[in-house]
Amino acid sequence: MKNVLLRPRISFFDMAGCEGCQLAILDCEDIFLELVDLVEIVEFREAMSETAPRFDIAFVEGSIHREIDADRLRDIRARSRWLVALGGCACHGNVQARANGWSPAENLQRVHGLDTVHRVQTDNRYWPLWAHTRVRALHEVVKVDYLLRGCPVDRDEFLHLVKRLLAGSRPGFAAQPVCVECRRHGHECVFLHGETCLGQVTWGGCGAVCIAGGYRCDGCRGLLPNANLASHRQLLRERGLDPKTIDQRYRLFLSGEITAQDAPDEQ
Amino acid sequence: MMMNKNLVMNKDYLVPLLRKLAKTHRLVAPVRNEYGDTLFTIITDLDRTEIDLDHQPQASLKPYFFPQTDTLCRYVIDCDPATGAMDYSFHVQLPQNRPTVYVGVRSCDMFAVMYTDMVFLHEHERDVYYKQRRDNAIFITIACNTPFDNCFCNATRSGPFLESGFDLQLTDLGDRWFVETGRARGAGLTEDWACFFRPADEADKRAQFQAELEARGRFKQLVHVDLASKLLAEDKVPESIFRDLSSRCQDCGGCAFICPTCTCFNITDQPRDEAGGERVRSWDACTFSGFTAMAGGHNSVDVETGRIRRRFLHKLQYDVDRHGRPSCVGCGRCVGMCFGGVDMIRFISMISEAGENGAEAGE
Repeated sequence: MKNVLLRPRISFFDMAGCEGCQLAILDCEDIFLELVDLVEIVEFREAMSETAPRFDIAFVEGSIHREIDADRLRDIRARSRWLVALGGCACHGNVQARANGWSPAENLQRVHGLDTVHRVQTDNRYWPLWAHTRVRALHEVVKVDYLLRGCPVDRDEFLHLVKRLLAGSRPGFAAQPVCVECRRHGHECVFLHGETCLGQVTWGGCGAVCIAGGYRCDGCRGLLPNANLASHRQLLRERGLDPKTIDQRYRLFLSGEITAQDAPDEQ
Repeated sequence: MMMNKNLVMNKDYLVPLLRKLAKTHRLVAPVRNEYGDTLFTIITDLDRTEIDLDHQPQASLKPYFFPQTDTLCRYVIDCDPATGAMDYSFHVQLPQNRPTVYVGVRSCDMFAVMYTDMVFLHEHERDVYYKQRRDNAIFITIACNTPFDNCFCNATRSGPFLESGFDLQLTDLGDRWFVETGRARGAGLTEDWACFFRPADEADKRAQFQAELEARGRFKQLVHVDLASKLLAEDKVPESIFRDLSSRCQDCGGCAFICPTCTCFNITDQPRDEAGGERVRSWDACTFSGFTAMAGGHNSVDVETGRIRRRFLHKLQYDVDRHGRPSCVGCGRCVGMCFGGVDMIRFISMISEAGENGAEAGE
């Protein structure tokens, strides 16, 4: 029975990120009309211009850099019943969390070169963009109800979550590694042909699309709870990767979650 | 009890026999694919597929009886708009599979199917999905004349030759197959296609006996399975072994998924829309740290060492207590699978070494 009056209102917001996750959701076009039938999308900058005061589900994409972003996120939290972190940036900081290893000035110098440092110190419009000391995931600022992992998010997981919330039950994602996905789809292990992979320590649920496409897993979905990085590191060493390369592999997507002990060598 | 019949079949007759069977049955046999992997494959065209009986299939028959994801039923929610009362109804979806002949099954895999029978068809708690697939199955097994590199089925007493469980067991005698009938369906099969078989004479029986003796001498792995069960039962396994193995386990679940006797599963409801959805059973593994996670986030098992302990004790201690024999069939697949070297052979050799040195538990 469809209860038209009680269509949940959902909204999408973006923080620091590439907005690819929102595109991935717009990519559900084959069922998007059905979805719009069941829910009411009230705020979605990438697809519409209206705004709304309150909503049931807020999907927030991107990581938190500046304090005004954190304030904006707190405001969204106050207006929403559920808050869902959409994509790797919102869940664990993703690629931009790499910057957490260095001071803001050092970051800037690494990215834009030495001569910009002077300009940054004099231009007060420029510096606040760099002055954050840490790239934060959403849960470091507010309470996050559900995480949709991946870079970008998996549309099936998105639909699973929306359906579950609509049905009044709690969405759940099993804490299983990408290896499970490979076995489910019958992909050959990339270790068997000399490649190395972060699948063992990474959250599954993606359908192992990268391995299906002939690549390896780089860990975009974040670190599994209780991931055995010491043993995985040992395996990568045995496969001929030097410590610096291993650190780079870990730091690409997992910087927000690993500790200095997990990737100690990279300068 | 009916005696097993002993027959002989020419080497060249196997494919013609299968061709006859394929008219009424689905065929599943090991086939070497273009990547050089030997896997159990559904054969649609016998003339263009070559059955590979020389290599161990990399995966067992488990997915054919207990698929990695299996839709159990559809559920429909009827909501009464007046009262708001919800009514659930379930519509069971039984697997629609044709009678299937599994060809080239090794003794360990056959034994593993018999073990999963105990799990899924135990007394009156019968799993209808498993039973449907199992009732439709005919097994033509191959006795292993030459065990593979990681095999230790002699130590688990599940091979290399079987005495029951199969429908037909083939033994390679060079130019001919020695055929034993096991279950009634296998005997019926030899009567239906009697033209392919001839009775075995004394020389054939002696040759088969000789092949079995020689096979037993060809195992490359020396694995003390019974000693391991005994040490575990006496609680003489040092805790440090579990700590060492846990530190190397990367939690990928490969050992449990490749294992022909691992049957842990998870059941999830996947809503299609607000009016219903599907209930799905999928493989789980006791080595996953989330395996024992409960509602509210509590985990009753120490994820550091508990999960490895759980896996090995289930196979070597709990099942010995319950069924009188370990539930490892010695196929050796987990040996090649694990990157961290956490496999059955390693575990058993570690604890038997510790047992020899008189190590005490809890050190």
